[in-house]
Amino acid sequence: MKFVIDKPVFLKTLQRVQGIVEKRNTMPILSNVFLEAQKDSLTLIATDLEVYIKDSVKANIFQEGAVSVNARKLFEIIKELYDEKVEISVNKENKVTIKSGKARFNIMGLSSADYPAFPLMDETSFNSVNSDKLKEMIEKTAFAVSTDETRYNINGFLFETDGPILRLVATDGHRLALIEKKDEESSIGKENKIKVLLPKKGVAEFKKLLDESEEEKTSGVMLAITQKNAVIKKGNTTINIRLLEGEFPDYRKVIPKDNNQTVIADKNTLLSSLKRVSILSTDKIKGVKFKFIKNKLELSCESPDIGDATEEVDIEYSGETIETAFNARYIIDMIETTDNQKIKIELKDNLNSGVFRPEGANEYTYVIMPMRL
Amino acid sequence: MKEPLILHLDMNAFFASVEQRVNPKLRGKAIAVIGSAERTVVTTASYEARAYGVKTGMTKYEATRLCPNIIFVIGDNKKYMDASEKVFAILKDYSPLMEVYSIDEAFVDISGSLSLFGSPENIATAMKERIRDALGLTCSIGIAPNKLIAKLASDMKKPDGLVIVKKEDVAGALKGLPIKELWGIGPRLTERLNMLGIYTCDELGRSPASILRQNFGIIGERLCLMGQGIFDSPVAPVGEEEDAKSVGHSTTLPMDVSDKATINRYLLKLSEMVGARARQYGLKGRKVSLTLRYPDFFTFTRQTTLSAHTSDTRVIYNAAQGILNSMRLKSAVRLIGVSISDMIKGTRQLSLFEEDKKREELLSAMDSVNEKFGRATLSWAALLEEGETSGVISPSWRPQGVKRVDVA
Repeated sequence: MKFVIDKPVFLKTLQRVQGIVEKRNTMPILSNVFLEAQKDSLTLIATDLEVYIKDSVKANIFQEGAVSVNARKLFEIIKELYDEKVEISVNKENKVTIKSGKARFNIMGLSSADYPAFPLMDETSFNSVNSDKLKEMIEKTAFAVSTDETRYNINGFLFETDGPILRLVATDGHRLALIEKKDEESSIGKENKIKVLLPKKGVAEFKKLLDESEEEKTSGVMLAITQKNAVIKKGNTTINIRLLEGEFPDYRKVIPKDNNQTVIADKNTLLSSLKRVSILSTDKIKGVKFKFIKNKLELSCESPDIGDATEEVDIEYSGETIETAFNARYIIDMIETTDNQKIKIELKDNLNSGVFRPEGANEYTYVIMPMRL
Repeated sequence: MKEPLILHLDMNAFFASVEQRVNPKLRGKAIAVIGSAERTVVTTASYEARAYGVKTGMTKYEATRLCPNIIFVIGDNKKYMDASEKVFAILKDYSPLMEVYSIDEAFVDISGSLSLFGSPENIATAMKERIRDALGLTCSIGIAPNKLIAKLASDMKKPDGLVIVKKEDVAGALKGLPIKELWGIGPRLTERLNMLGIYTCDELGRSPASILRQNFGIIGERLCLMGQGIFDSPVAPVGEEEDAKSVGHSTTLPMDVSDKATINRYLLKLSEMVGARARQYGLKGRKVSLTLRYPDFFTFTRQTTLSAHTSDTRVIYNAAQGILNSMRLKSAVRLIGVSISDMIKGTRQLSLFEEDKKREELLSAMDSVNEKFGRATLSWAALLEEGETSGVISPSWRPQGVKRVDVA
């Protein structure tokens, strides 16, 4: 195998791909990146066996072939090169030679045959999706995903389709974020309802891909969901993630239907007040007391060793006085991803969950369980 | 300001004396209290046995060789806890500032008690008399201006001693005293101090603080002060001690075990003990540690951090098991310990899902049954084949609070 490639192009692709590489290094081959030179392009593959990423870039191929080589080292070398062109060749013993300007590196690779194969996907299973909507859905739910690896069934997102509606749900057992978006143009899930669990790490990679602004013209974002995998394609990049197994809890049961005390609060005021008051919360968990009085919200916090803090926030509220407590972190997470200027809070009493959403946006539901006072 | 006056009480051959008290046949005889496990060691020897050279930590074989007539008694922690609580209750009558140091040792700050009870001698004599009348046990008492010297003084005369070290006599008491006699200076520290040419307490007190700081960091200065008999740690009554930093249990296995299924069963048992105790005090931890000891006494601890604080037996067990599965055991293990740390006082966060709420209710129901009817009345099915192994009582045992470890 032998090819010449532009350094900036190669570096950018390597950077994206090496993010997937297994950091814990349980199988040495997983710290490698797979390189394949074919016709006029170079294909790169990296995987941790949960997430697969494949990317291809234009290159001058002199001799076709494939090899796998330590991703971290390759990336570090390419990053430090000063010449714009990089020549890479591989001999029969899988020794990879990198030449650029007056620099020359030899690093040992492994046979391409040992590298895990990128899962094949039937091209017909792909459907185009609205990239902006998908991105927004991930942004507004990702913070609620459980980080507890032992709770595998909530260690990711529930992705559902319901006619033209795409739904993403995430929870950690104390709060739940749900978002629905209509995507009339997409035909994903129209024939067969989709209900799958997407792992956190894979979705983070999806999100990174969606965030990238593509200079060149692309055919938009394509998504395919099969029984075992979810695959996203954008430009020359394909990310394939293995779905989580397990049953996501029934989110419908925890969304309250009879929360009839409605509060409207200004987003920025509430956010900055919460950040201030929670400085004096007792634990590592940011418990803040909320007292909803007529048109007024009293936030307070006390910590026996340090002191206490209170702040009044003007709100629109005409219901009964409710005194409860929430983890401020949970509310801050949600407010920070909200574009709307007003937040609507629906409550019942101090022991039942509260529903938070941007005012007028019924497509979004964020349920938080209170803390005992 | 009153002169500080600290009393340290140390029960004499506590476990053995309690056994001799309840069983008259054992009185006046060489006995040793041992654990119930097969490979147990002597936890306490009676004074009669000590005369033959039997010491704490000896195996049964070693003890029998020194003293062929020795009688071994399997320890009954319940009895000792009961006696211990009665002793501490008596001490509390003389000052509210009473700190339990271990099951048979306590500090009492009597600085403010003199006007009520008379001289320090009177207080100590009254305590000793009441303990002898109520329980038939003897103790050694040391009285000094601080905890360090009081502890030293109680050690000077055993059994049934009373030593008072006045402020002006502190220097004399420390002169020529080997540093290892000082509370808190163990074999390792002794060795390191010896390497600096420091062998006695007065030498330690005269050593330049700068050299000690260089070698031992911040404790260097404290060591120097200790050598001069200066020690300012106050008597901290139960409840006012620092918040628990960890909750843990460990057990020496009846035989070395390499079979993972068996180790897992012990892990579950220890996790339940840790979980139940943490739940009892509304504590949750985020770090789970697993301690293992190989037959050659090589002991090591590995820990993992959870994403959320917990006191749930299953979560603790899963984490401990995860650590075990991530390592390759070099040989069979002799001791297993599980603990949680990075504690918070119970979060009051409510759960969203019914199954989580049920889980919390299940654990709390289990705990209240076990509290009422005894430990492991309700237990995990995987532990059913397990016979009860009663370990040796932990040195951190306290009559109340989170360090109280109930024994079966």
